[in-house]
Amino acid sequence: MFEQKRQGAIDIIAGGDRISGDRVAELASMLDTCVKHGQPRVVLDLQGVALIDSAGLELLVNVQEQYQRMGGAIKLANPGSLCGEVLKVTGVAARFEVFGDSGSAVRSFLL
Amino acid sequence: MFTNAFHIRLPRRVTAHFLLFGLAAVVWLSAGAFYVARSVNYSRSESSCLRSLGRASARIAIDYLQHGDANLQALVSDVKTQSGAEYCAILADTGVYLAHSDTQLAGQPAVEHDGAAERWGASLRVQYLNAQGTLMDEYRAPLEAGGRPLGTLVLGVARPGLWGYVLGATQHAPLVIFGPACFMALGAVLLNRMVRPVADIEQQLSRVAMSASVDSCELSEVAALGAAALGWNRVITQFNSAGQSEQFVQQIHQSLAQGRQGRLDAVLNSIPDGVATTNSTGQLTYTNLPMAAILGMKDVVGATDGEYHADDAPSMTDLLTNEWQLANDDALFSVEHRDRPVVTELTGMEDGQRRVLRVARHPICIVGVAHRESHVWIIRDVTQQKMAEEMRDQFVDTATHELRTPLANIKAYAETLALADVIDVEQQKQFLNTINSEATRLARFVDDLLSVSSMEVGSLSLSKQVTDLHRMLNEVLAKVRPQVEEKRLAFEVNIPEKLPEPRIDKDKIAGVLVNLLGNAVKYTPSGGRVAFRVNAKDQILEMSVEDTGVGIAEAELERVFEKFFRSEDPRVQEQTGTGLGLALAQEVVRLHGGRITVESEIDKGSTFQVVLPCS
Repeated sequence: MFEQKRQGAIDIIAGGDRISGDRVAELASMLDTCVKHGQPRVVLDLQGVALIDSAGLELLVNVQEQYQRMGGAIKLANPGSLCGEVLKVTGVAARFEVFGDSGSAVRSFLL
Repeated sequence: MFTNAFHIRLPRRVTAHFLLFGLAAVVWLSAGAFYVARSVNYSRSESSCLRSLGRASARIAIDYLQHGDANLQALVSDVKTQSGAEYCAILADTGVYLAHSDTQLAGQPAVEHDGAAERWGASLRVQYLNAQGTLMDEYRAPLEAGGRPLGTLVLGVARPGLWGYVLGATQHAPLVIFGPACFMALGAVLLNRMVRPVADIEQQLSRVAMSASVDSCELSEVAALGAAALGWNRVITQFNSAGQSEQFVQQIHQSLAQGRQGRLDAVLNSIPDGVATTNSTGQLTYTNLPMAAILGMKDVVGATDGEYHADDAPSMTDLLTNEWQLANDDALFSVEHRDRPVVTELTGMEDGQRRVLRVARHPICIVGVAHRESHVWIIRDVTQQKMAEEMRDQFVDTATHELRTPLANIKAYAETLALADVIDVEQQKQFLNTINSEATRLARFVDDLLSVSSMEVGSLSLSKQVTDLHRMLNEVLAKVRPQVEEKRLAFEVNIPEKLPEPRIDKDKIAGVLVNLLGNAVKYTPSGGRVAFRVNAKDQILEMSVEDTGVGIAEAELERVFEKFFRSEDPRVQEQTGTGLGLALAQEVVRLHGGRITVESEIDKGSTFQVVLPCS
């Protein structure tokens, strides 16, 4: 189950154990709430996320494109070894800024 | 005439002129021919009359010698008939007609006519007008028979009038008039065909003359009849190829322009800053995608088939005024600042969260245009930066306070101990305890800073070990119990007898619980209640700290775990604190794979719950 918290003007989503077809709707709904007004700036903390399947990758790519059209961004933090490998092999990692921890990801929005 | 005839096509004009002048020539020629014919006829009539007169004189003289004057009357009648004269008579020297074709005048005296007389030898011609007004030529020749004069032979011939000649010429009209007319018609047809290419050229040039530009006229080739048409066709071919080249060049330029525009759009849509342009009235003429998102618009302005058209796009200042706190005296509204850059910050609330925009407006400089009416706007969401700045300022204030207060106490007590002459042992011990306490406070603050620094760089590490929870919890309670008692709070502790022995970082978890219980005690007024409950179930350890303190406002609830965050509630501000404890607690729990949550209601109290996995 994903949890959403806010640090400054940054939304941090964390807590899921996988981003797969059965969890995509929940995460998508949460990511949609970040797009109320203005530009969404989201850190997706992948600590504890053991698996990302194709539906999850598609969601991430679509959300990134949607956010970028609005001048916002979604950044990834704490990917595990398997998640990092999946992101790298599929080329999805090239579309995201990936950080070792969520604090670094949040601070990167200051740059 | 020629000017007015321009609406008639050239072949008709040429043919009309050809026929007009040809007809004039025919008429003139006919008149000449008529005059010549008239002269020739007159001359021929004159010769004929004189010849008839000579032959009749000889015939009458012979007949007179043979038969005397018996046949004179018959002879004159016969001469009249043969010569076609009006009358014929023999006039005696006495002035009496011996014979006359008009028998009634025979024996009658002759009438002398007044008129122009013309003489050829013995012959005479007198011109006169008779009683009917007809111009008459009367020819007279002397008659002799055997050398003896008999009298004068008179032959009266009527000279034909104008209509007579016309009627006479009419019989030759088909040859004289219709022949040339047929040739003229044939010439007109040939001429028409000959000038048709020229006419086509003339028609196209007329269209060019009446058009604004040559490009708007469609010029075409004409029938290749003659060198002029061939030359025109060559000009048209070259012109069209030049036009096609120009069109091709224009298409290239258009494609390049579209490419540049598309690329510019892509560039502007790829940056996170909102970019927009406005016209002289402040109406939006372009927005990129981020700007539309920042302003909460349905669509961008400037798209070909977008939501907003050029005339119904909203005003930038209206949008900003509606959504953001924008004072009426802001530089954005000032006419004085119209031609110079303006940079300002706008603040607004969004779902309870404060947002800050940095708005920069620059006049668009166009070469050669002095007055700058349109502007380019660049808007950046600087909420995070502003909050970071505020947090830094707050940290500086907090650090200054947290460092200066214990240092001042330490310095004061140390100076007292050093300078005082007589201090009893008990007082010295009290001073030293205070110095020790303040030094401990300083050390704790520095430790917190170091922990935060470690947390920031991700180097905050855990030293996990199998932990006796009962022992650890008792140590925690022992640390906070004096404060609880000092504030006379009701302290409810609920710890089950049987607890697991998880692998955790005992010191750090203990620090978390001390922090939570310390906060509960610190922000709960005297007489209040603090409860500490522990529950272990299904390898999950739940620990909650509940108080009946000041509580946390809903707007601040999400921020309590942020570093250096301190509530704006004055009841909280009056207590010392760094704003680091909860941030550290959250990080420690997170590193253990657990989570920490808070529920609170202002003026009623708060409940912090720590959930840790025991596996």
